[in-house]
Amino acid sequence: MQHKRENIDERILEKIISVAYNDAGLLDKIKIHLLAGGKNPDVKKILEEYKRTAIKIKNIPLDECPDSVIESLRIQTRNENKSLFLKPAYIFAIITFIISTIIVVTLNQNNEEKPHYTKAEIELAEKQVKESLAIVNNVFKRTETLIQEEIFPKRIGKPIHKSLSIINEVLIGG
Amino acid sequence: MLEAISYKVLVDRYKNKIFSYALYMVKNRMDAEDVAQEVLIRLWNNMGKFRLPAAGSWIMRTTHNLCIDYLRRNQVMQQRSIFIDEESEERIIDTDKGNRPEIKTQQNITLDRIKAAVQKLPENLKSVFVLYEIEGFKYREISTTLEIPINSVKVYLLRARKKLQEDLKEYATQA
Repeated sequence: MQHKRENIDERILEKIISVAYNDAGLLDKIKIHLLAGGKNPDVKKILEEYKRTAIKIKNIPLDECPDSVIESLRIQTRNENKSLFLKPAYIFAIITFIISTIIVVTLNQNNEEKPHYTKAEIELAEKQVKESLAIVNNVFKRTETLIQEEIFPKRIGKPIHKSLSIINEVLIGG
Repeated sequence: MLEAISYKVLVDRYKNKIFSYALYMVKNRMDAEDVAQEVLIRLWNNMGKFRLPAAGSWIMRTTHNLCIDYLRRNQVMQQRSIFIDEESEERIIDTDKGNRPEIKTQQNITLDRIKAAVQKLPENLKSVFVLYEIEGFKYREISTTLEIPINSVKVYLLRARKKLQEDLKEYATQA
């Protein structure tokens, strides 16, 4: 192979390797396949050799991390009073809590939309409140006058006076 | 609580990558297990100190640094650099259950041979090669993880492929 490589430019070899490992650009792929197909049989041979290796390498699986590593992590962290691995019940509780919080917050945001008033509206409202209070005050004053001048002397004082006169007459007369 | 959930997701996603990388670098399962365990403990202690999207680079950089520290500390033990895969014997025995045991056995031997050849690569080439070809990281991620320029990543990868091809020449022509 060393002999063949001597006949092949270093740049071409790099492209052959990239094509074999399937990470070359489209133009490089076309160029190398054209070279492999016609002019240079060495290119074809080197390409195939690299392709065979590349396929084997791409099929190497990841080594699985032993359960003992994870298990020892649990033991270590348990000693530290920290729980790295949540139980399903905790996860369910957390998810339920998060979802309920989101729902409550969303509903509150929708319900508690506070109206915004302009300054003019506020001044008008204050004026109306003052007018209302003035009317109420007026009514109270009239009522006071009515009670003092009409109800007390005529409707209450007069009958009481009359009743007391009758009682006096009866007692004196008796 | 959220940290614990994120941690579990990261462990599930990266535990095999960490262990595989450590196994290629330190070359025996027990040491690789120690490295993997140390990485996962450091990950837990540093949760919240890095952004989650950058977790992959952080994890692999920590794994790489721990492997390098481990190799430096155990240079004497490094003499036993021949890859010992305790599971290979079990795999060969297990193949009797398959339909074509002779083919499966041959495949396993070839796989072990390739793994051994990868392990024999120089450290700088091996780290790039394993991260790219076996763990599936992109050039940029490898550049961040190993803190080297992208061009160096490409050069190391090319050199690793060439060296591996030389080492596996016999097998490439036989297969």
